[in-house]
Amino acid sequence: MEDQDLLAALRAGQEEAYEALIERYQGPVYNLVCRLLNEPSDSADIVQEVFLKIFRNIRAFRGNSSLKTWIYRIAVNEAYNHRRWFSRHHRQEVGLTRDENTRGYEDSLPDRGRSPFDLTSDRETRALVEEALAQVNPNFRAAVVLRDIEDLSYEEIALVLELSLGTVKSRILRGREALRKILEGRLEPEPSLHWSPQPVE
Amino acid sequence: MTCWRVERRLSAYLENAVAETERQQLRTHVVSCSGCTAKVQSQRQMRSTLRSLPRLAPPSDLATRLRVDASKERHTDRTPGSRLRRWRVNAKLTLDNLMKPIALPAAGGLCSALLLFGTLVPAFTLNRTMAEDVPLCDLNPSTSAALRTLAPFGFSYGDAEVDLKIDGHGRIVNFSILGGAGHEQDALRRSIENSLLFTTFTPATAYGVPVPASIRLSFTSSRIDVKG
Repeated sequence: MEDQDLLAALRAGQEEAYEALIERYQGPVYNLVCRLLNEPSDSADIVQEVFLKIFRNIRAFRGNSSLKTWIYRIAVNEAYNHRRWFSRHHRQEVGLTRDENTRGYEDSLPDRGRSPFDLTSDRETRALVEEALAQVNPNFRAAVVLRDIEDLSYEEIALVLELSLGTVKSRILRGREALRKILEGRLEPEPSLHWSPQPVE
Repeated sequence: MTCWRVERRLSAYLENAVAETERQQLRTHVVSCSGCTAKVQSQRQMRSTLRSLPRLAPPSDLATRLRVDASKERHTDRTPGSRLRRWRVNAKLTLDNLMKPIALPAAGGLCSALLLFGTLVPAFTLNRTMAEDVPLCDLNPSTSAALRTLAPFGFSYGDAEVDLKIDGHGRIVNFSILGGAGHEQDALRRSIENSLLFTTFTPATAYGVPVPASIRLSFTSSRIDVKG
């Protein structure tokens, strides 16, 4: 079902449409929210809030942007609201270390059947990148996440973040630059093939 | 082409978002500069890692929670009050959309206006001449009538007390003798009248304005006591 058909079905209140919406966007919204926040433990609650807003406002959605962009915009706004609320209410608290019950990023790494060495190396690299991403300024991080992880176009990101195209490009550039600086010296360059001419004997 | 410029255009270069000529220039520089080559490799690797980051699996109960919410919302949508509720939600959304863009400028404008008004208000105060104004908040707004000058001769008919009514010009309007022990009442009255004829008074004042008042004089055979 295309997004336009899905939208029409949602407006008509069809049960299958709601089911399809949840199936299609639950994962992406959850991923987006997780990566925009430093506290992924609250992500499920925020996703639930996002979907509640979608259900309640689907009739008011005028279709000026795509359904995906609209949903992502709600998710980004909810994540920002939560971060503001969190920083106001938990500023005085001491950070807790991760315990056994907390879900971490590495818990969801898929097993691709590679060698333990490759797997460990990849896992370390990804953990480093995830850690670095969490340190980037939230505004720049949102732009980088939407571009490099969610694979949205610049125009879509501009609609989601409600910014001009120039600002989006600038934020992506600065976000990547910040990431590069954080990771400088920590990521080993990938081995590349070097071709050098050899004399024929 | 400088390293600084390459750094600025690195992101666009890696996304093939630069013109062909600029791309050639960037490529030529990157190939010849080890520092920029390392940066390109590092950016490529970082972006490739970002793209390959695993999709996080939502908690297993999330989908159920969402389905329950969807069911509730669909049910609420069919209830009789749903049209009103929907109208309220739409109105709130429209109002939010209208107000949000002007909220910050309006708040800033109000603060600026208050600041400006507070700064300029003292400059608008007029310095009026107050010399002719009657002071309304004087600590001692009224004064009583007082004796100004005495008759130039003595009083020799015993003791008497006299109540006098003094007008706003300091003149005697009326008097009454309260008591006295003299040889003859008529002689006493004449003596008092003679004394009062040559006596002058300062009128009483209220807020600086002369007003009628009463005063009591005590005549004795050798002196005059003034009370009041």
